[in-house]
Amino acid sequence: MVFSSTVFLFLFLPMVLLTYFIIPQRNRLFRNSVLLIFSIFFYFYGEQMATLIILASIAGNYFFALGISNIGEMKSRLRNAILALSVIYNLSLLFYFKYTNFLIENINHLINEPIVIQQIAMPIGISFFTFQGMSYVFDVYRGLPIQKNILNVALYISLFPQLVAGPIVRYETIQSELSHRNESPELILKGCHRFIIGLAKKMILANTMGEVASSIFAADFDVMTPGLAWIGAIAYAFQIFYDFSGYSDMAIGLGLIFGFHFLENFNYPYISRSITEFWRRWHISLSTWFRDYVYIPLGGNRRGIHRQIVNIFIVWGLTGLWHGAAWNFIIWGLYYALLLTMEKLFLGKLLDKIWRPVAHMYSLFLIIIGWVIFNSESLNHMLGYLQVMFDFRNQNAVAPGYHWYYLTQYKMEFGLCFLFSTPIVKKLTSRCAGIPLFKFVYNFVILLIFIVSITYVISTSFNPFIYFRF
Amino acid sequence: MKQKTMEKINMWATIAIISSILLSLPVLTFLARENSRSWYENRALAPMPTLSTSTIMDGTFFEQLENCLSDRFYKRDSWMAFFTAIQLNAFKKTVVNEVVIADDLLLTPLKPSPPFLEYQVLGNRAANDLTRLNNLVESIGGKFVYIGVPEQYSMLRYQYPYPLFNNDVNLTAIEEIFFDTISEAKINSINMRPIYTNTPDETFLYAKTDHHYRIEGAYLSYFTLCKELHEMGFQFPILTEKDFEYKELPNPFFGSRSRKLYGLSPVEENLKIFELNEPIPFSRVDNGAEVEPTVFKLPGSESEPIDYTLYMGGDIEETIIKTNRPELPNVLLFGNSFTNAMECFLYTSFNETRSLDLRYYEEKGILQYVEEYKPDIVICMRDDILYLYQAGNGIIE
Repeated sequence: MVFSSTVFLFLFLPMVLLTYFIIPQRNRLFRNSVLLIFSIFFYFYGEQMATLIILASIAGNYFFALGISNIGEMKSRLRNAILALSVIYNLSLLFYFKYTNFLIENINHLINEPIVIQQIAMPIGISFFTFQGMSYVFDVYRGLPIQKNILNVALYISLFPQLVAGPIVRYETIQSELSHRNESPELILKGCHRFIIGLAKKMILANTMGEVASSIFAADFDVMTPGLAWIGAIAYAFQIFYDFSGYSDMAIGLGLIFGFHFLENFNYPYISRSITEFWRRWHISLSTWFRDYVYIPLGGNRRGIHRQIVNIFIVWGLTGLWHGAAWNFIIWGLYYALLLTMEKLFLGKLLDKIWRPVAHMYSLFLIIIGWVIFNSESLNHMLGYLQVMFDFRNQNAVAPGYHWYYLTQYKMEFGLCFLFSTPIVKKLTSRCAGIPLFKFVYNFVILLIFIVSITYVISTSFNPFIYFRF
Repeated sequence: MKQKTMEKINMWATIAIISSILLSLPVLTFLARENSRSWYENRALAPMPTLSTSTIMDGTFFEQLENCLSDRFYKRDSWMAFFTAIQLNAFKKTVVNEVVIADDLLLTPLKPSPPFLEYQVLGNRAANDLTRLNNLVESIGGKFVYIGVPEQYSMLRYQYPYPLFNNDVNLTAIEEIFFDTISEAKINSINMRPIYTNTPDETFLYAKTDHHYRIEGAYLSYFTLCKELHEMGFQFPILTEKDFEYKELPNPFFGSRSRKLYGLSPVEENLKIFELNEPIPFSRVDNGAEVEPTVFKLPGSESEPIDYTLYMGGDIEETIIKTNRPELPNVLLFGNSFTNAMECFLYTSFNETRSLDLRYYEEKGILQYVEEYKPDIVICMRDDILYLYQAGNGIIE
């Protein structure tokens, strides 16, 4: 079930809100149970049999954490062994469902007699809920209080706002809110605002940019000009940003409505002046997860520059692989490893000194190239697309001026995408916050945006969520 | 203090409005009994899903529920119209709901595509199929004629606003290869595009908001066809423009393109019918059942919207019109919806006019039909988008 569907907005959400808020606030157990039941149903709606996998993930992580907690810090070897077991358990689930097909496919390229297996369907959101389950065990290992009630662990892992597309909520972030939180009207309104903004980002901007990007990426290279290829790549950069940040906004908003405070997942990534800064602003929950649970345990930057570079490549190889079982994702991860290493070694200092617009252009250029790698369905497609982007001598395209169509047809959306990828509007609204009647006007505008977004939900059929496939 | 109270009222009012939107729309959707068909989209709406253990466990129930709720959402057409208005007026788009808004004209958007290398292969296949039919018709003493008409966007391709792609390269290649190939196969054919192009104003012959020609375009194709048949030696009367009078209907016309704009089309036009100075009595049978002897499906009132089904009542599997003039030839016409407007003229020239639409007619193939019916003349009429494609009226078996 996607947040931007009629079933979610007009059946699931009203039902969960009604049931949840009918129960008095003091009955936390009942309220949590309602959220849990609806969250499991939310998953069951899209993945009927695979619901058993998430239940297995919940049960496994609950018992691993319980084991670690009960043993106590004195028997550190046994604790480490259980932690290692939990990692193997979670990664096995992830590996089996996400990477088996990819592995067999690659092995078959190398051997004469291909291995034949039935294609394994990947459950939606497995990368997200597996990482959340691991976060729970890691945080308990590090000393955070355990959840003795399995329902709270189940709620943490399966909470529907962030279940299938993140943000990856760390256990430490909402540990106390699982049992003590305050759902106030102020939070509900704030949550509604955030949800509506996310819905609008998704419906009005991401989906429109998605239409542009998918039609250009699917076009025959013979009909493409460099201009068209660049517009496709820029449109995809906007699509993935508004798609994923819109989803994160909706998740954060829904969290607030139910009294949870999830951490921010995006912070205007396209205004970055370096790739290092970009990754501090993009998918923050994933990059901090890898930083805290992989990079730092590997030694981070504490064991010399050579080891640090190796660590960077390991983390970014894994980051790429986390996004999908395909070579383009691995290349995309290693591409960023290379850029980050270069910035760490010498480029970073240079970027600090050069004229700001040049640093912005440098970052955007490399980010856009990165998205072409990310969005390509095969290595051939990736190379072909990149070639068209830089082949300015190609005069044989069937529709030489066609890029103007996309620029004129989607001028408003491109303009809005550009505007909202900078903090201009945010700064303006915070400056106006003191003006009398501002809140009234702001609420009115939000309601208007809500109506327009609903219009898009009902009227458009192009509604993919990119991060659902991870 | 007063400001704080105002802010609280503002907060609660906003929460109340959002909640009432979320709660009322599903209730209204379930209470309102909307139609099971979308007139604007010209399709059946998704039905209510069947609830069973198997449909739940295989996910089809949820999938169908999604489609059903979206399709039958409360006042869906109004929401769609609002969406269209945003695209047209706020975003000022050239292409809205898969319709190109050109200068006083609605066209269909086309994706740039390179010339297809298989055109000649497809042309040979089509010519082989038509040769089989041609041989059969000639073996029973009749004549076969293929008449090709351009689709609206093809005919008016030079009116696409820059930089939209008009597919000129492909359309020209298809047309040339097809007519060259069937001409080599010695099949009688008429290509209406050059004839339309040579008229003083070709735009007058085509609808602005629909993919068909206007009644004037249909008349020109009728007239050209009849002249060709005369040259082949057939004797029958041909309607000239002095024999009838056009009459414009005041009803709002929703063409296949303007319909997609939910009544917000910036281009409007009216449809015409014609009245014969000397009516020719006839009987009409549709799919085996006798129906009212008329070729125009007229609306009940002047305000009722009309569409292209005005002519012959739209696409019908089999229509038989008899004028009881045995001295005149019998004609069999098959083709897509372009035949409808031309049939309104065609019956006046023949003893019996039969029309088939092989997209829907399943009783027998065209070869068997011709063999059994033994018409004097067989006409295939297709639009240029479909010249090379075997589906529907291109299936010769």
